[in-house]
Amino acid sequence: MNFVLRHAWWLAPLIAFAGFVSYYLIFVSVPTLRDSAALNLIIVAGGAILAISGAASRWGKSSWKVRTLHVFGSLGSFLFAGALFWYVFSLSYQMPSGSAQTEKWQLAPDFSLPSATGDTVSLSSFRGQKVILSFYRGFW
Amino acid sequence: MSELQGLQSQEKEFSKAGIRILAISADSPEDLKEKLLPKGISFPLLSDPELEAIDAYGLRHEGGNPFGGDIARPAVFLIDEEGRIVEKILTENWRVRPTPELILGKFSDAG
Repeated sequence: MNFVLRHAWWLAPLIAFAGFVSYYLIFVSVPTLRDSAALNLIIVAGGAILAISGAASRWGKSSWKVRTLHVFGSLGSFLFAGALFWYVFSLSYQMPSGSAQTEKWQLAPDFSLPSATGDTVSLSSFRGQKVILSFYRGFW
Repeated sequence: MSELQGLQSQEKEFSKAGIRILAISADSPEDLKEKLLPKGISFPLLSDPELEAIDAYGLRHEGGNPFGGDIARPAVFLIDEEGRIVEKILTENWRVRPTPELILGKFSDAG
């Protein structure tokens, strides 16, 4: 434990960074982990707590150099933790409300669009079948 | 786009229930072909770079593209045999997407 606290100045921001980027690189493709983001929030919060604990444990006993390292480590950890919390609890809500243009029981607006395989597909050609129309943000 | 992989995983269930899937984004046909077809999506991926259909359904998210530009907010519409909207599923933030299970459930509720 002592070892971890002593190295918290680089371990903590590394953990927070890993928690931040792994959300976008890995966990967005796991629906339950994407929706709640709980796992990644715990990781980045853990990084931030470790940074503070590390700094606190070394504060009275170390040189100004070591203290500076811990201060920067804490700032880095809080940066990544803050960024993920901000994304999850604020940024991802900043969306226009879906307009009332289309309401239940209304006729679905028809469209004719090119597909990835090169044909043109129109909604009206699916008359007589049930259709799921999924609008998504993009290929990323 | 991970919701598309979710839909794909339940594709058999949907087709057994006589339900077809269409996916729409503001991506160009080339991006769809290069980046999404290799992921094994078998239902039609439609390209709406001018946001015609996206606007017709009131789903434009201005500046929503992380690389710049407007895109659609995530949304699922369920349409019946007569072409009527029987359900409109919007989530309150873009992180959360409707699951295939939820969609199937809504369709059975709608009869």
